[in-house]
Parts: sequence; C-alpha cells; structure tokens
Amino acid sequence: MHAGTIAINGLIALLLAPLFDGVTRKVRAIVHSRKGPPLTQTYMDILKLLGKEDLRCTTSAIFRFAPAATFASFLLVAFLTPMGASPGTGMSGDMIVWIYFLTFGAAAMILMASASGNPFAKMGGAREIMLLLSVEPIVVASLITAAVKSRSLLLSDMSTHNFTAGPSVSMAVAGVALFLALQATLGRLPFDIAEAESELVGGALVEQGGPNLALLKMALLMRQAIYTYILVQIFIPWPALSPWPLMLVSSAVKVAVLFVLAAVIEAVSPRLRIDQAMTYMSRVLFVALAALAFAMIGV
Amino acid sequence: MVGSLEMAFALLLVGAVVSGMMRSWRSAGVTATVFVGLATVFAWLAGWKVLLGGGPAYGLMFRLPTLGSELAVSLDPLGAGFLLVITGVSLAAVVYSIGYMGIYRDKSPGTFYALLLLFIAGMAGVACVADWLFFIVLWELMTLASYFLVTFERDDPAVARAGFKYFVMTHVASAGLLVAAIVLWRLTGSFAFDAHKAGLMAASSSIRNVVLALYFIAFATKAGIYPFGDWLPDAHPAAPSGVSAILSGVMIKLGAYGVLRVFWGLSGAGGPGGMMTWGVIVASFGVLSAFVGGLTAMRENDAKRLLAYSSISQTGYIFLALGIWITFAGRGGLESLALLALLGAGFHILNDAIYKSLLFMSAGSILYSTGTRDLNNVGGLSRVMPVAAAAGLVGVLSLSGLPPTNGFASKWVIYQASISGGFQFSPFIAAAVVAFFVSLSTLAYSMKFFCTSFLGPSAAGPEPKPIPGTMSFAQAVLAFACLAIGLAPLWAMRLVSSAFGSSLPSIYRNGFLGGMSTLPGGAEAPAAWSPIAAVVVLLVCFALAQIIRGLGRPSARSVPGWYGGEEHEENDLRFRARGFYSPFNEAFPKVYLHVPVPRLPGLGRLRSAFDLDTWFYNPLVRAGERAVNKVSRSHVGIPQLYMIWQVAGMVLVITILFLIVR
Repeated sequence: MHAGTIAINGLIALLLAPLFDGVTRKVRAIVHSRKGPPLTQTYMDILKLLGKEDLRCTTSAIFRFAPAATFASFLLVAFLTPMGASPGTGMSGDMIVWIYFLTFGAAAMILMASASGNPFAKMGGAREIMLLLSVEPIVVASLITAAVKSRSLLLSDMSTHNFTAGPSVSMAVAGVALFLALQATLGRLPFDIAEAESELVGGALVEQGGPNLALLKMALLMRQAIYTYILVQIFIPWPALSPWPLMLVSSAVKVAVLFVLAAVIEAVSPRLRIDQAMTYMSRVLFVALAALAFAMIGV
Repeated sequence: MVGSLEMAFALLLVGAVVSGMMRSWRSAGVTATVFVGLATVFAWLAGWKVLLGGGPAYGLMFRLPTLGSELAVSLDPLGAGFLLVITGVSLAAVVYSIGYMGIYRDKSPGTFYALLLLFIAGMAGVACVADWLFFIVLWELMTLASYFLVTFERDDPAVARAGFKYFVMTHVASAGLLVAAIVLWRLTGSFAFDAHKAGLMAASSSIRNVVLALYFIAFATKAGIYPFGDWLPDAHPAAPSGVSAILSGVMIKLGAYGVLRVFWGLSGAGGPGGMMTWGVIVASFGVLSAFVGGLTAMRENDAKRLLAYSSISQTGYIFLALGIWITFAGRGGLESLALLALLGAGFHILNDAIYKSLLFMSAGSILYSTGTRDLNNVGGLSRVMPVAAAAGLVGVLSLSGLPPTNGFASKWVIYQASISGGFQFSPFIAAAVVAFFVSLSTLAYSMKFFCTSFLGPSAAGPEPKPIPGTMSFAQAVLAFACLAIGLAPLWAMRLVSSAFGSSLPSIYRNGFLGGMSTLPGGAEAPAAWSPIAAVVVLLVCFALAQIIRGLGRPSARSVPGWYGGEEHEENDLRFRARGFYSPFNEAFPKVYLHVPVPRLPGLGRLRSAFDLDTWFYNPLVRAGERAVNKVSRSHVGIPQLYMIWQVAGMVLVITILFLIVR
C-alpha cells in the first residue's frame, strides 16, 4: 500500500474535515441572515472540549473506549477512501472493507450509547441503526453500480472508471441517488437538527463529555468527509488533473461545494421524523436500484 | 486411521450407555464430556489425516447384497470437514451443559445425556457414510434423538407442540429423501453415493428434476430455509440451550451438507443440463430466507427465538453461495468463480457453526442467570458474567459480520462471489444488494440482543445469579475461535478448500476472481484481505485517538447520568427491547408493499400469507391429530385383535417386499 496516500488521506480527514463543517455553519448562518461563527469555529470547539473534564456516568469499559474505537475505524476508512492523492490503495475488494469499517464505527457508537445506560442515548443508538438501514442500501447500490461499470471491486478502479470510459447514464443516476442520500449520511437536516443534537443524532452521545466528545465529534466529521469524497471521486471525478496536488486541491474544492449545497438544503428544509426519513430513503433507494438496473443492461 | 474413526463412534455409543446410567447431573455431565472429548480426539485424528491429503478413509462394517447397500465408515475430505465441525462444536456444547443442566434438577440426567450422545453419533455418522440407505438411517437417528431433546421440557405444552411440529415437518421431508433414494436405487440397483450420481446423470431430465426437487426440499427443511424450515423458530428455543447450540450450530448445517453431496460433481463439466436453473433456485431460496429471517429477527423480543430467526437468515447466506456455485460450476472459464462461491459457503458454514452456537450459549446464560428469555426483562448482565458478556460481544460482532471477526471473513467471500457472479448473470447483483441490506438488519438485531441483555441498568426482579465456570469456559473458547479465524482467515480457508478437494493457492494465481480483478503488475493477488494488517492499523489509529484524548490532560470524574433533570429509579431507565426499531418495524410492511408492482387487491394480505402456521402447518397438524384419533379407536385393548392387526401388517409388508425385490 502507498504510505504517502495513507498519510495524506489521514491528514485530510483529521485537519480538513472540521473546516468543511465550518463552511457549512457559515453558509447556514448566511441563509439565516446571521453573521455566523468564524470558519475555524469547529477547530476551536474541539480544542475546547479536549481541555475539559472527562465525565463518566458508568464504569463500563465499552463506554470508556468506544469513542476511540469509533474514531479509529473512521480514520482507517479514510485511509482507504480515494481523496485525490492517488486512485486508492489497491487492496483487493476494498469496497467491502470500506463499507464494513464504516459500519464497525457505527456499531461502536451504538454499543457506547447502550453502555451509558441512558434511555435517550439508547434511543439515539437505535435511531442510528435505523438510519443506517435506510441509507446504507443506497450507498451500497450506488457503489455496486460503479463496481458493475468498472467490473471491479476496487475503489481505485471505480474512481478511474469515469475517466477511462467516459460518463454513462447509470453512473450519473447512481451519483444522483448518492447525493440524495448524502443529507442523511452527513447527519444533516432534513434528517437531523444541529441545534437539538442532544435529543437526536447527538442522542447517542448524550452522556459523553470533554475529550471523548471531542473524539466523537471528529469521528463524525471524518465520516461526513469520507462520504462526500466517495461521491466526488467516483461519480464526479472531472477534471483529470495531472500532478496529484492539483487533483487534491480540486477534489477538496468539489467536496466543499457539496458541503455548501448540503448546508443550503439544510437551512431551508424542515426536519423530518424518522418514519418520514425512511419513506424518503425508500424512494431514493429506487433511484439507486434503477441505476443498478441501467448498469446491468450496460448503459 | 480407520480404526480411530470406528473408535470415535464406539466411544460415543458406549458413552451414551454409561452416562445414561448416571443418577446425578454433575457426574453424568462429566462422564459424557470425557467420552465426547475422547471421541472428538479420535474423530479429529481421522479427519485431519483425510483433510491433509491422506486419502479417504474406508472401513466396511457389513453389506446388504440384495439391496446393493453397505454400511461402511467412509470418510472423504468433504465429510471430514463436516466431522471436525460437528465434533468440535458438540464438545463445546457438552462442556457447557455440565453447568447449564443444573437448572433441570427434577429431570433425569441419564436420559438427557444418552440422547445427546446418540444425537452427536447420528450427526457424525451422517458425515461418515457413502451410502444413501444408511445415510437416511443415521439421518433418522439424528432427527429422532434431537426430537426427544427438543421436547426435554415436555411438561410445557408449548414445547410439546414445537416438538410435534418439528417431528411432522422433518419426517415429511425425510419421506421425500427416502423416495428419491428408492427411485435412484431402482435405476441403478445400488445405494452408493457414486452409483446414484451416475444414475442421476444418466436419468431422463424429468426424473432427474423430480429427484433433485425431493432432495432439495428435504435438505432445505433440515437447514431451516424459508419457507420449508418453519419448525426451526419453535423448536430451537424449546430445547435446552446446550442442545439449541448444537441444533443451530451444527445440525442445520447438515442440510447444506446434503445439498453439497447431491450437487457435488453433478454440475461439473459433462454434467447434465439444467443445473444453472437449479443454481438459481437454490440461490433464490437462500436470498428469500436471509431476508425474511433477518427482518423477523429484528422484531423478536425473545432471546432464543431471535437467534433462531437469525439462523434461518444465516443459512440463507450459505444457500445463496451454494446456488452461485451450482450455477457456475463446470462452465468454461468460470470455475474459479464457482470455487469462490463454494469456498464462501463452506467458510460460512464453519463460521456460523462457531458463532451461532456461542450465541445460543449466551442466550442460555441469560436464561440460566435470570430465569427468563424475554429481552424486555433483562439488563446489565455484564456485571454478573463479565466473561460471558465479552464472549457474547465477540459473538454478535461475528454475527453482524464486522471486521476483524470470522463472520466478516466469510461474508467477504460471499459478497465477492455474488457480485462477480452478477457480472456474468445479473440477478446475482440484486442478491448481493439484498445480502448487504440483510447484513445491516443482522447488525440491528444483534445489537438489540446484546445491548438489552448485557448492557445498561439491571432489570427489576430477583438478583441474577452468576453462571458456572464450565459455561463461561465453553463460550470463551468459541469466542477465541471466532477471533482466531477472523484474524487468520487464510489458514481456515485453506482447510475449507482442502475439504472441497481443491488447493487454495491455485485460485489465487488465477486472480481469485477469474481474471476479473488482478492487481497492477499481474502479481499474485493477495485476495484475502489481511485482517492482521487492518487490526494493526486500527490499533495505531486507536492509540492516536487516545493520545488526542489525553492532549488536554483531562481529569476524570464520576457523575450520575443525565435524564433531563429528573430523578428516576434504575428500572425506569431501561430502554426495553420492544422499543428498539419500532418505527422501522412499523414502517416495514408499508415499505415492503410499496414495491412498484401492480396493485393487486390481495397484496395487503401478503404478510399474512407468509405466516405458514395459520394456513398450512396448523391445519396439517390438526388433520394429523384427527387421523391419529381415528386410528386410536381401533386400539380397544383386546390382545387377539392386536394379533390380527400384526398378521395383516406382516402380510402387507411381505407383499410389498415381494413386489419390489421380484
């Protein structure tokens, strides 16, 4: 594997992800006609949390170490994600590993929520699973569409497919489906509400505080960046720029644009209940399955 | 070598007699463990030798020349692979039972252990014969022994009903097996596996398909494949937990063994046509089973029923892989794809045997400790049984197929096979998408199982009691196996592939995916993902997380939980099992029916149509009861009348035999 790719991916995930969040917050504030926090606010939030007390409401080891496990698994996924430095690590079948380590991090979070013994946290954990159940099939169907088109299970082959074979209907439709699912994978409105996080996606985190909460926040930000990078790199990789630093910059810009789009949608949407979200997702799933069907008939 | 196999069977049978005479649970348990342990050692000696290329073992017992049948201990690599799993998992379950069976103070230990050892002998026997007649005899021995074990708590009417359903359904299926064997016997004059294979190849396509259908239904019933395996969710929870572990871990895998036996070589080069259709049929039932089982398990609040549905779902994965294998075996250029699917099936059989028996033991520990299987009324058990909780955590992670456990290792292969299979035959892509979805629902119900029982605040009610060391030990060993196989899957894959008589490296040299995905440079693809590397990276990331966490030198402080500023009793704070996923479970039938198919008037009743109990099995059972009542009227207690019946029966049997053997 390419140590350089891993290092660059890791740095992007760790250092750039909070910036993307800062962009989102700024855009949301602008839509609300507020001044909004500075772009660096999310870094400051995390630094502040790192300096706080470590509060423990239970002695359970799962509660103590699950935040670090979630963080570690999402960082590992970031290593595998094509982010522009190189097409990918070339580890065979890395698509499946990619999906499952994302699930691993979510599972660690759910276990942590249950271990805290707080019913709000458990509710948040169960909600996390339900969202996974409705969103992940879309992500998987889109990725399998790319797998069928590129006839490979390597993320690197998928991310170069659009260059080598040119755009196709199925890839475009799959990209649209993935974008429609993105709002939920980013944990954003209309599927969630940042201002009331303690009762919703934050529900799983309700008993966490201080450094553990900082880790979890960073983990969730990394996950947002990972999903967006996958969408950008596999479905809208253009333009192909030859020295890799240029590609790196253009990918980051495209990701930032997607974050802005997501933030605008978020700022103008009402919040959906979980059952409404699932109905919406089931419709998006049909878009994704249509993409898959297109891919199978070869368009 | 052959001696050691026969020794193993002798030990099991002698053990059944000896432990059958014991009066106390503890001494009977220890005796049975010693006998099963020794038998396992001998069986493993024989099995390893066959697996590692020592050639098949064969030891003739006796022949039935008129029937063209013979009873012989005959072990080929495929049987040897299953023999290792059967004896290994059974041994763990027997060790577990030493402590667990303590809750049955008023029952007879002799009966239990005698039946248990006969059951194990029957299962091991099924893997060690090469003759359909004795295969069926041993299959029946296994089924009967397990029936009596399932109905061990027969004072409970629910258990009796579950046992009766199991008895009726598996026997209807076994009858089909017998018919299939007799048809082929008429064609070939022999009961040997090889002769039947040749007969099946030579038979006309209609006969062949009928026979294959009978075999498939019989084995799918045993494997718990939906809709044939409807006995499973009732029977597995009814049995004592050690037995449930064997039933779910090993016995239902013998259904997959049967399918492997029947289709082995049949779908190879030069085989009869129509095998692709059979492959698609097997795979479709596998996918259906995985889907229905997974979603039903999400709704279940009974620990053992949840796991029983999960067994249906996981066997579905195995059948999906088997179907892909049958579809592509012997088709030019796709052999490596077929082999990939076959390895996925075999590997998943091994892994599911380990983690499913482990989880049934976890459920048994919950039952032992709290006296209930209802997940709504348990909680916080990790404080009472930390070892069992840790093992259970490994078990649920394996079940949900999360890396780096063994469940991920085999699902990885099955996904590769079904996606690559889909490149050749597109419906398998749909199967892969469904399989991914089911695997998330697996995560959902395993989290429900683990979180409600082991984590969180304790439940109200009597203090849960700690579990005996033997129970913890058995679970710890199985959890260790899950992790070991998960971390070194290549080693286990090599064993699985030698059970299929193929060597693993050759697949690797062919690019593992039939030339579909070779690495740049055409190097030998390291196609098995490297879990050890992933775990090392994960640990490095974890250490980094801990360093980041410690940057601000935080001081730790214990605080009470925050519940919106109110104070509550601990029991009020429990988030009960029935609350999990209720929005999803309510939404699901709606989503299910929203599939864009024409709006038929009866579509709303589709869900009730899936409920086979109400419209099929219960009427069948009632009809059976009525028939039996009618017959029982003829039993009036006059010996002379019985004599007349016996004479009449004998005449009938002799006539039938005369007509057949004529």
